[in-house]
Amino acid sequence: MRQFLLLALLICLTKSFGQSDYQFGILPAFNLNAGLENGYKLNFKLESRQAFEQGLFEDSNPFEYDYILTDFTSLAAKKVAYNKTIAIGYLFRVRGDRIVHRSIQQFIITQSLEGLKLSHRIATDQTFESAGKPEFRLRYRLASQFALNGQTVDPREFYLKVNNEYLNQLDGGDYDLEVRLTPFLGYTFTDNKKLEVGLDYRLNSFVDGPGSHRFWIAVNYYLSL
Amino acid sequence: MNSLLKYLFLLFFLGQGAYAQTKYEKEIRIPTDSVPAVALQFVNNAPFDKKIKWYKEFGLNSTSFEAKTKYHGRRYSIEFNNDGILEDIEVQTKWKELPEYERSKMEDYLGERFGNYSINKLQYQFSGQTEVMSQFLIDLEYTEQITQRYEVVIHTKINGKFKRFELLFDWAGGYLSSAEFVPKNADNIEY
Repeated sequence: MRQFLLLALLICLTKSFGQSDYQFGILPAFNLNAGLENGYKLNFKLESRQAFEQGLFEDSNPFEYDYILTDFTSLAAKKVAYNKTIAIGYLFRVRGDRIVHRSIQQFIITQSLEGLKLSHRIATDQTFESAGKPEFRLRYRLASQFALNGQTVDPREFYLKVNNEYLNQLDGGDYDLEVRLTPFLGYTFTDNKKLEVGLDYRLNSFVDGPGSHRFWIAVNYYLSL
Repeated sequence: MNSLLKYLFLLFFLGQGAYAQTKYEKEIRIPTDSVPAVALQFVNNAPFDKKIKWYKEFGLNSTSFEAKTKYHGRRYSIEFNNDGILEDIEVQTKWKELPEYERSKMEDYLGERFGNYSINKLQYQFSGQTEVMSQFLIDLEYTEQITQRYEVVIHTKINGKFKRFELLFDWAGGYLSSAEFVPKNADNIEY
């Protein structure tokens, strides 16, 4: 609830930041997970970013479709305790003519509470592309999943998932902080098939500027083999 | 032919054993008008002063009803069978609150069977005649007519796989039974 109020507050604040720029679009993603022997797991994610509207808040911006990028991410994960996982991976990004490479390291802790499941993810990544300096990020994400019927999320039930992430970025010596807030409504078809629809809100460049806001309608499908 | 029959017979009973040791629970929140009258009456007669949430639980081969509430600062679960007959009352507690002898006895068993493990949840489990249990909730005093047990949930690793077990111990810390939880997928909050 507190996170929703924060989101509403942030959206209201944007009205007073006429100079801020924004993007609005969709962010569909397909997640494929495969369990292996000895606690190993593979995760493959395909995500595409497409904008419908962008510009300054104070301007009247027309609807204009703009395909931005597609990400292909592969992670190899290993359970190191019942509720702890480490993962390393690689992201391959196609953005027009540009190709971006990113190496990823993650540590994930999950917690099951009464009617609630939490996941803490601490991650670092390093981004490289031929036409730019490398970018380094240190990020923390708290994912909260609330069962909407009963104490745990079971097949044929809806759930609420809220992600809140803080990304510290070092890009060519320049520091920036990005904050993400993503409330989702999810549905579990079976234990291995889940669909989530929600808003992925991202705010950056607000430390020493008017802020840059991105609003994505996110659709995630998770399939576990 | 005889040995084939013996093999099938053995396989059947080994299969039954493995099945009995698995625990799967799916529960849904239900309104009070979906609760069997006898169960509702039992809980309404209890001196609970906090909100009571009702759930219907679907196990691998049974259905039951459960009322959850907080009472005297502890989480209470009152479980009823499908007809609304009281099965047991579970009260959540902490490992360090247990008497040392019983705790050590259970730790010895868990260490010997699982090696490394961690305690995830511990509950007192009380069962007995409905009238006795109704009185127990009022004065919170144990009598000889009440069967008292410990229900322990642990995390452990067996043959490279992380697992979750529920174990039942008697009031002296002696092992009674165990069941392995069917794991639930959490990929969508990890990745």
